[in-house]
Amino acid sequence: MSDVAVLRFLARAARVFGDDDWIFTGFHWPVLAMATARRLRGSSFRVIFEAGGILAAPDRLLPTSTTDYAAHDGSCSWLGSTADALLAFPRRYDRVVLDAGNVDVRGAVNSTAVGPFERPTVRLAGGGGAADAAAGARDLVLLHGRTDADRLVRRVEHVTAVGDAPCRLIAPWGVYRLGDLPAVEEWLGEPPVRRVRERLEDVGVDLSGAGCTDLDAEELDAAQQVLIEAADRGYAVARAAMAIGGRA
Amino acid sequence: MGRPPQMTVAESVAEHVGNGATVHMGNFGAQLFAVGHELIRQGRSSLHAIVASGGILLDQLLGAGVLAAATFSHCWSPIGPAPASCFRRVVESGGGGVTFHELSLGTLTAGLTAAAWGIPFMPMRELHGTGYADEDWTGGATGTASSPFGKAAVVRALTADIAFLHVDAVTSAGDGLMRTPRSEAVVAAQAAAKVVVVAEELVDDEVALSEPTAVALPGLLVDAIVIAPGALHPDGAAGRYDRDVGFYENYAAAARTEVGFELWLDRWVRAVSDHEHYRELSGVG
Repeated sequence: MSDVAVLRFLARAARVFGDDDWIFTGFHWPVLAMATARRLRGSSFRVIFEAGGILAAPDRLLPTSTTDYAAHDGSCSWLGSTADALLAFPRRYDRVVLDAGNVDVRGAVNSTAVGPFERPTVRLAGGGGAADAAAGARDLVLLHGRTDADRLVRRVEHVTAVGDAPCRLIAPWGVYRLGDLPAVEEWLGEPPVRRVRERLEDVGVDLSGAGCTDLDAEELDAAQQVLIEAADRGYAVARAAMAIGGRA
Repeated sequence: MGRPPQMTVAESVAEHVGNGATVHMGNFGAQLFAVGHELIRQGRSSLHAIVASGGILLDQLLGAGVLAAATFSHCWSPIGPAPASCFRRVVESGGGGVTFHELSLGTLTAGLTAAAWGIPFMPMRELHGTGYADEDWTGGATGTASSPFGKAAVVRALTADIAFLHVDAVTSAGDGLMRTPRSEAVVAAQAAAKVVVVAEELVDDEVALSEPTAVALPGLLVDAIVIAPGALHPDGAAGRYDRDVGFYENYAAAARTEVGFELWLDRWVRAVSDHEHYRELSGVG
């Protein structure tokens, strides 16, 4: 069993892929959440990736990224372009789901650099199409997989993506409304440890109104199976989660 | 116009890429490593690479010192994911003489569209609140323009001297069939002065007639054809070979240091005579 906090996180993230929804899905955790949702709900929703594909069925292999076309082979119902996915379609998406490794309480994501942009201390990958997808989103969901809250800050140093739409953050330590009045909406199974709660309060998150969401055994099992497959497909987060919990 | 000539990867680079050229390296997610490695082998320099998503191909071109500039939307190894270490070293050391134009992928696509239509710039959604707009990560590739209809953010036309683009199969007339999302491939072909299509397989003209919805790049846009099975390795080609996770992981580990990267480059690029030799070594296609 992998780290149970990560399983709950992944299972909860999978719930944003609702029946008959059209969801723009970014790389990394959103792909794993999508795969978990596929195990639970099959072909009941459509996924759009930034390369322009619309996927209507489970992939033959867990995609290593959203451009793993060999994995998507046979799942695409429409073959469009990046312009379609990022510029023309966003106002139509039910939801835009993006990875957020470094995020602030406003819902801004930093995927570009730590330190000055011209000569950073750490150069990150860059934003890809996240800025375009977020800018056009009607409903933005950010996924952050770390079990500590250290990378949720008051204000990120650089912004690669930020939306005008309502924005939620899903993390192992709960579900949060981000924006002018950041607040927790749900704990996942149980409140996080005190250190995390203190961190959240330090960055201005209101913890007073949290409900508790339970994830059922079927959801957790689907998340576990996805992590097992993801570990084989090179996902470092899956290998880390399984190292903590021990492989089933 | 006639039918486009068929050539090898090496011939296409020798004929179509001079030092200092602006080269579109396609496709987003299906990177033409065969072409990139040939650029390195033939000692090309001072190139400006336009890459939708750099991935480790951009990383290798940077590490090998081929580039004077890069227009891109991100650069990483998708397996892991892991950092693109050459990219990191170059940027963290101050750029190494390489000019970077970092655009959102949508903005990059809009720039290609401007080039495709033969106009100097394309209006686009302003990405207010992001560093693209507020910190000029684009290195001068974007601005604002006023018109009788209002003000708009704009991106300059991204015109390549040559675009290398991947298709699954091609006919001798140059019609390129794709069984994957088109990504930026079609607009990149429209935007470039010349286009080389690199395919896994040559098929009869009748195949295009029987599968017209699969023809993504008409031969009208194509200046040369290369048949190179396995040209995308270690990326995958839908229906033919999967992305090579182990190869990606080995590269990421090797490239973490400059010495490791050079050893990797020696083994997989410099000591390799051509793409066919690479196929034998890697076992792809």
